[in-house]
Amino acid sequence: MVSRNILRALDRIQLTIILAILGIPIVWIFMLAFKSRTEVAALPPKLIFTPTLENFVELFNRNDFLHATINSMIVASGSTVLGIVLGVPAAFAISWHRMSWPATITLFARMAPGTLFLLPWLIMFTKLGLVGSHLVLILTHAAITLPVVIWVLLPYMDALPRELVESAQIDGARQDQILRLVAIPIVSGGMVVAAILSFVFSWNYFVFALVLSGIRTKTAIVASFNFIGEGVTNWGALMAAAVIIALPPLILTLLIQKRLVGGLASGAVKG
Amino acid sequence: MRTSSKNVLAGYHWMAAPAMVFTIGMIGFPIGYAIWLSLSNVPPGGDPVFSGLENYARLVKDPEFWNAFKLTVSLYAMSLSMQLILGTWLGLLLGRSRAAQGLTRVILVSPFMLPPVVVGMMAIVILDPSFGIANWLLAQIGLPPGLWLSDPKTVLFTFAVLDTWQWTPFVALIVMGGYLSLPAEVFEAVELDGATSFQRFWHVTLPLLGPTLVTAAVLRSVDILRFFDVIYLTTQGGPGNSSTTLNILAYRRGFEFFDFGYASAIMITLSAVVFGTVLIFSKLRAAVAW
Amino acid sequence: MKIRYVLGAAALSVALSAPVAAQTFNWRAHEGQTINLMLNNHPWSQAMRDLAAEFTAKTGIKTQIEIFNEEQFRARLTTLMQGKSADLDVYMSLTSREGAIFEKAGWYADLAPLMADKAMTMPDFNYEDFSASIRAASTCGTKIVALPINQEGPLFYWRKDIFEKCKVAEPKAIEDLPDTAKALKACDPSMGVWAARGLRGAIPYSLTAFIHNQGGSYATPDGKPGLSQPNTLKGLAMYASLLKDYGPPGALNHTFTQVIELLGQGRIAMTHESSNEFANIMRFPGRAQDLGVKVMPPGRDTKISKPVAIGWTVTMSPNSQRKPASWYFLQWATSREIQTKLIANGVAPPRASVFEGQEFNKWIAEMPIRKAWADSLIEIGKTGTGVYQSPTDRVPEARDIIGTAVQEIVQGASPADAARKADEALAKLQ
Repeated sequence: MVSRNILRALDRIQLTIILAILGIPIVWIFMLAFKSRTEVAALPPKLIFTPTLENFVELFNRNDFLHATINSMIVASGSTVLGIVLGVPAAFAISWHRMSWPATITLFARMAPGTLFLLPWLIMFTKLGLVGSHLVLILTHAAITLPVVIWVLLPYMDALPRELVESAQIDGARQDQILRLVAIPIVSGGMVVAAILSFVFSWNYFVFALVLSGIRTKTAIVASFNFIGEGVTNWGALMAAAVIIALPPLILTLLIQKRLVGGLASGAVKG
Repeated sequence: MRTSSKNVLAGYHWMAAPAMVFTIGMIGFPIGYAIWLSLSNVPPGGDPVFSGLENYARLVKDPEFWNAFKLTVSLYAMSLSMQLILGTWLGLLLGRSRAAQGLTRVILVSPFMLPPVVVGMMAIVILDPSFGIANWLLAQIGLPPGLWLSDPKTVLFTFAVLDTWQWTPFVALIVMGGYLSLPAEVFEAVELDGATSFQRFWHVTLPLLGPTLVTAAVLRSVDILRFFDVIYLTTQGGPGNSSTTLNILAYRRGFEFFDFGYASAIMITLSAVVFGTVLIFSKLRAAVAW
Repeated sequence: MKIRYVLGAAALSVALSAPVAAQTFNWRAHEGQTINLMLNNHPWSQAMRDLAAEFTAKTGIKTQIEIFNEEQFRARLTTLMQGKSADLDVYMSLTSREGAIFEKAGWYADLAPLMADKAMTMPDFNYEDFSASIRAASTCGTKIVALPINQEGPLFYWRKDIFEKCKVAEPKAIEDLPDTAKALKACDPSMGVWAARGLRGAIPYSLTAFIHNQGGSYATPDGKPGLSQPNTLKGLAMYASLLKDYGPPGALNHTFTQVIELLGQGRIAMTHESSNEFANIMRFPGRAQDLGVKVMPPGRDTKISKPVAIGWTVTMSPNSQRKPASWYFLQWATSREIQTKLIANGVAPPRASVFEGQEFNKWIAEMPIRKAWADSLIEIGKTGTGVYQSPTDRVPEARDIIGTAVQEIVQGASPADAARKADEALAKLQ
């Protein structure tokens, strides 16, 4: 049918426009990472230029950026794992009993401005001797990934057919078995989404790391702030840092995207 | 057949316990401490001295506070509405066309993966009226340059646009996920009934997407109301006070002017505002469940 | 008699041995310790990071240096100090800005006893090498709160080649500036003429000369906020109008980074910006040849030239558990030897001996513009002031209010109104 083809074409056009709006600024920034220092802020912008790696070289030589990136990896992974381990069962319970309040409580961590936690956490963790460790960053970041996991999983859990659970119960399954063998396989798509989002949120969060990290556990985001400040803004190095910082989440998504779409489309939910 | 009626009634409450214990352990003390600070006079370097509701009384009379409150709410309204509307449209588009694969997915996910530093720098590099490429582009096609973040009249809207640019794909993915998990029979049935696509959307799709939209709205709300990072990096609340949202105001009072008690009062107030908003959405979620 | 002799000899030997042992300053006395430093992003800090290895080689004390840019530095420092963290030993501070607040909060350790202790301080430290005014800036009574690491102030930079091309004379009095700007604009409307700080908290630094040179002051004779005084209004109005009429679009969000970028790229003809940025500006091609630099010209009738002159300092946390080792770093970093090395990084030395020394003069002689820069620094060292707000301890807030007033004038408010509002707000800080 003609109209259907037109609709499909319209869809494709809209999609292309959106992708351009989303993608071009990012591509632009990435290009800047490969421009030499004086070219970066120059106008009119040079679209054709000789790419240089000098920004990246400076990034890794003069700054401990590799180390910072590894720290970000450790912290983001740790807090994601912790968030999933705590959040998946919680989301199931919340959805099953249709309780709202536990989900809301975990959201408190995201309701207060991040800066509110700085001073008290510093005091708390100084007493525990954890300041400057990876653990303190993992714990504090988990406080913000946990609500993400729970809230993202809730609709998936809500869509879980209750008959499946009930029949498993009737079959004599234990509660944790039900969670593992019935619920999780069905919501696995949602879990992947939740995990990716947690990772990214934790990865990008700077406020806590700014104060609670030590010299050896500084995360990449905090390290990247050094390129703005007294002296001419080092656009090139900052953009290079931006590229490095944005890469792991992007790569992760690339790797997992198939599973993601698969999970969403599999729909044991659809019957 | 063993009818374990006990099992059917058994609670899964315990499964939520670890998360609850963790949360309360981690954020209980900070929130309590912040409340105490907000009720005290805290000289820099000194210990807090209880002063009752003094900080809150000052807050209520402070025009800067109300200005920040107004700005926060405006930014929230603009950002959230744009994101939800565009996000739903994009989410449905993605769901329909099953285009969320490969490169498309990467492009979709990229904006909200970006760290705030990058978005802030992007805003400056692209939007700075003197250095930015946006005005240069406008000049090339003969349009007058905009002041974007440098004009008190447009700065808030510019932040709203930035946030929308970054997070619409996020909303879209959530909507897409919800859309794709909707039972297909409903759509088939409605199509057979001869409804127009708009009617289909308005009476079927949208209500079915209710819970999904509420989730997206809650997750965005808590962030937009506390919008901080990009403002902090670009205008620091300026020009003048025209982008000093509550979070920025609290930060400046605390970390630049060393007025911790008052800053805590502002932060607690902001937390209460966010909490209230989340409560409203919670009720909404129960209302639109199906 | 024998006993007396013996006692005498014993007393003499005791007298001889004990002080000698106490007076030996040993660089390696605290070998093996590690100190944590937190520095602001500044040419000095960058240079320090590179030179730190020398310190470790000399003393055996290891250093962990963190460099943050201003906003993050402040957030982290404030939290660590308020939380009484022992993780921080040494940090940079701008005493002219936060000195009063930090001292009241007890966030500076007292360096005086350490300096007086001959066993702890290198014999040729020579604290008097710093001028009286520089020393005063980091002293509170008898308590020495910090050591100076540089001196800086805003200087007038202008493009000699553009001025020549447009046949515009170099401004000799500050009142000449608006006309100079007008002439430059008329000469080439497509080119940028002026840029300056427009970000609220950053404005006073560049603004002050405009006020002082025209006979104004931030305070009234009886110590109240004095922005509404006629001469002060003149200064505010001139700065604001230059920004509004001849400044780049978006100026209200600009701080020195953008201004320097514009100057370096050759997109403006003149500005009033920090001497610190000198090294960075010189990196841009051509600027070393076509720029002139001098102190902002005095008022035509008042003949006053009183810009800002400040200096960063480095200090010790009172919560530090490694005070002696930290003190070793502080004196090493501010020693004549190190400050001489830092010249090459464009860090203006606060020590008179370095400033007048051979190495500095050699460096200056390499480029004529360097001499102009050095001479300007000498001048503002004599004429400049570190106080550029109305009388109060809450300096950051005061500067913020003053900057807001300028922003309001740029956006159309009358100087009198903006000043009056600012004075009211400033009065609350007293």
